[in-house]
Amino acid sequence: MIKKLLLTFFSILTIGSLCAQDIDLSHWKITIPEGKPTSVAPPEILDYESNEALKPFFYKDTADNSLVFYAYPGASTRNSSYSRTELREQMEPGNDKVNWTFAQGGNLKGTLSVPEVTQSDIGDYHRVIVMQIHGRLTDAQRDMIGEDDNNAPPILKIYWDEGKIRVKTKVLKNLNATKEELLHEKAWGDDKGKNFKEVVGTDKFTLEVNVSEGKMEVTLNDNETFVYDDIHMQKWGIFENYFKAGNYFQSKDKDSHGYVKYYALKVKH
Amino acid sequence: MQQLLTTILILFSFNSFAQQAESIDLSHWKLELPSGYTASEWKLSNFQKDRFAKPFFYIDSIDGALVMEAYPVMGTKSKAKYTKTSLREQMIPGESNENWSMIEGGVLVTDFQVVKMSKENPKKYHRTILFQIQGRTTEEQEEEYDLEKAINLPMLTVYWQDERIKVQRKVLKNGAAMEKELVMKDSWENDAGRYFNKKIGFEKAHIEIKVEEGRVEIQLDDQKPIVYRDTNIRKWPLDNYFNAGNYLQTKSVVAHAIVKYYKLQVTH
Repeated sequence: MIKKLLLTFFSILTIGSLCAQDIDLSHWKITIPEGKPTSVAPPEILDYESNEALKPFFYKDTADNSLVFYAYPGASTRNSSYSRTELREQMEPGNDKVNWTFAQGGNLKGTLSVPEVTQSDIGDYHRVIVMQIHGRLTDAQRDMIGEDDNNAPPILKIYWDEGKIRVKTKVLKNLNATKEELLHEKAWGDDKGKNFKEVVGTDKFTLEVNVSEGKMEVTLNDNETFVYDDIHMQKWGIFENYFKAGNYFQSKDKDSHGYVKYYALKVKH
Repeated sequence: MQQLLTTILILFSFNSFAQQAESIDLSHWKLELPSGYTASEWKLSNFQKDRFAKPFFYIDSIDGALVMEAYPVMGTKSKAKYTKTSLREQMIPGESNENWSMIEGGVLVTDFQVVKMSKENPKKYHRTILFQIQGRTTEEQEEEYDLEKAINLPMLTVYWQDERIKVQRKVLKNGAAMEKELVMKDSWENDAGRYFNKKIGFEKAHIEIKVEEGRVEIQLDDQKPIVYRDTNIRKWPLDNYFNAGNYLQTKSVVAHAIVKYYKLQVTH
């Protein structure tokens, strides 16, 4: 009898761990806020569970088969003052140089939750960016504007903000900017941002980002959609992009931290 | 005997369930605390687990009342002039720009009790604002009158003062004021205020505030209501929201007030 029970128990566990393979990491590179910081790309990332350096920040929660992203301030990654445990899409595994334009399009769908985030000294919850579309200069663009790296701004940032989901995008400050001018980071400003009506709190939710030529759509729980298809999206067509997903933790407060869990994550082009 | 006991127990638990069901619905309110803490929507719905809300805003475990405490906080980030523990009505949760017009009107019904109030001197208690009808310019007005930001102006304020309820409201300095002049703060001043006769002290009390086009009525218990229906009300140009809470009108470091709410209900 006990044997039978144990068997059932283990087979449930096995099925469970198989389910977590829902998240195919073969096109993602993980960065954690420790080391210089540390990044692990495919194929090494596929063996993340036996990577001791990743373990504190990026691991499987066998209780709910989620992929956990943990971050706290301390070490921060390049180009940013905040810390992140975040996946970066790699269309070609192991290569940051192959990315996609809006004309080529892309679709990212994830099921996630933000189960725990600390609060500031007066009780404001720290914010977390859970998904992004980041721009990237091609080497030719980089050389044309005399930059020393390939960084371009993020056209999309999706925040968990006090239990709600907040979407921020970029706007071109001067619509008459030349093609060269709009490659500069300074050419782009933040839009006002907007919140989905639905409150997610610490519950599971689904986010879908769909990109096509001149258009970006963000959908929460297959229910509410924000559509961006104005002149700014058309102008953004000049950039190549990649998706990001995880926990880009927006606080430098001492003793602050946040957890993000992904239950599913799928990218299509 | 045992059966009887069980029945009583079941009845009892039903009763407490019913009380629970009547608890105050916070979905259309935004909370502000003396520390500068603010919360609405999910954050507010979670207040009982939030250690930052607890010192000022909690459920009394014995009578189930919603308790609002006010006392000064060192190094506060609050923008309020005094010590403010207060709820601000939000027609659309999380949104402060959508308020109700005089034509739409509104009714606030509440049961409350001031259970503690510190003193200014041995003979005089501090006073607190329990309720307000707050006016706020609409986005159309801000555009039409070229205003840099929204103007907020309380039309009516209900104080607990000297153990009684005092109602004070705004009146026009110039009764002939029109258009942009009407929305400017400088065009309005406080009237002398009126007290209800009854001394409520630290007892439970019931207040209803009814707003409709050209008319505002405040009812305390079985007292003769205070009614305003004059030019000042007719000309009130702003959309409105209710405030309810414990906005303690002093910066004294030893000030401390506790107000319990048993009922807080808004209808439009």
